[in-house]
Amino acid sequence: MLEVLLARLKQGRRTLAYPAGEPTLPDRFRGLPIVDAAKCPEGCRDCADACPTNAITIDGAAVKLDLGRCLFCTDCTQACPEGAIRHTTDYRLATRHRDDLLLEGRTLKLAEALEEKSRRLFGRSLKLRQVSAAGCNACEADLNVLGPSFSTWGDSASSSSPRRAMPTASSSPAR
Amino acid sequence: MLELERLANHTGDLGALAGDVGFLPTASYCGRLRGDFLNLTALLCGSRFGRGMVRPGGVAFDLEEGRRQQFLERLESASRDVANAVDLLWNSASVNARFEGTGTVSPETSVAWGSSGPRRGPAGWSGMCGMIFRPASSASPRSRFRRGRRETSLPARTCGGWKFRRSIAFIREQIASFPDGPVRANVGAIKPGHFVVTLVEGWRGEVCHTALTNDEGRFSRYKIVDPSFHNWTGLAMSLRDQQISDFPLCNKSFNLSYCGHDL
Repeated sequence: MLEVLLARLKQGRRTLAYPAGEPTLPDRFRGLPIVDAAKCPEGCRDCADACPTNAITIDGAAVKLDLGRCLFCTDCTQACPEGAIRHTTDYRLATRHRDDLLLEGRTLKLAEALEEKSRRLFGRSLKLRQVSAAGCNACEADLNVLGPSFSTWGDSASSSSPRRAMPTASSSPAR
Repeated sequence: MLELERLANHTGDLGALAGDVGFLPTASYCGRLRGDFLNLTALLCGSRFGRGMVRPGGVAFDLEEGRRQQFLERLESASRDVANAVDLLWNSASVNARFEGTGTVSPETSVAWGSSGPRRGPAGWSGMCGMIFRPASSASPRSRFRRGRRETSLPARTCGGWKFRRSIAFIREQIASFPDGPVRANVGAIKPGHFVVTLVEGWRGEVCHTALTNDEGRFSRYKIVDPSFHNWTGLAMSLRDQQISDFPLCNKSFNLSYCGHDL
């Protein structure tokens, strides 16, 4: 018992400022990519050719990015001769619809908070059922720790039974 | 990178095992500490899961001096806390009593089913990788797991045998001996009509990738056999004649991939 208490003292209290404050991100973090099409040389397709998942399409002077396909690797940013495409540290990437992940320019139609009625219904509790449909295990691993000690919503956010789960999260490659 | 992944996952596993036997201190501490190792990976490449780091011909990012210092300091701090959390678990008599005799699989059964990784236990480190590469240094994956007693319990074998201090030492050794020069070489186009087999010791065990290319230098077939492929049967074997209440412990001990492949 004494050992448990000593360990408790040693491990201390650990928490993050988020969501009240901004999260601390590593300097190499690759968030929302942005394209400054004005810098693009005439007829250049280097970024689109370098992309391993064909997430970039070039339509005349416009560069379109499909974030549903983007792996956030560094191939396009390294291939660009003008530095026109780069990753920002904007971590907000969630959208409500698949189509909203198609990015042209700088804006991304972010997912909105639940409307008042649903929020009242769910209260402060959210039970999530996760369906793993050939995900890469990253989403799975992070959803797995949304237990009581990692709660984001005030209550345990994972459920092993679909009966007790309200929303369902599916992790899979983009279609 | 792989060793960091191993550290993160085994720390998480220990926490999960602690949670399954109702020992909450280690469950909470390891849940957080697992994240510290993932964040170390993010320090190197910007992604907690190592995305974008490993590229054909090398890696995408270098480790400059300042980052190396920061990395080693944070590694030291995380390993101190893991030592504290893990010692707490193994020094608890009630935890040991619950683990004892749970999910035993004989070495013969493990070998017969081709189990790989730490779950294979006393029979040795997974067959093929060990046989082909015969790591000579003290830093081989095999040396980072204690050789268990015959038919030792599954939770003890999975994580008790994992010498995380050796894992930390291995990372330090590797970082100290990084060669100078570019981090990535130009590998050129894929050769047509080739057949390649690779074996890697992942954190769950042996991962085998097989690639076949066609006449145009494109992949015509890409096949992966991962530790989970073999070890799901190992999980079934570990539950023979056991109570259903032992399922969570055995399942967490294996911690297999539910979908897709271990990469």
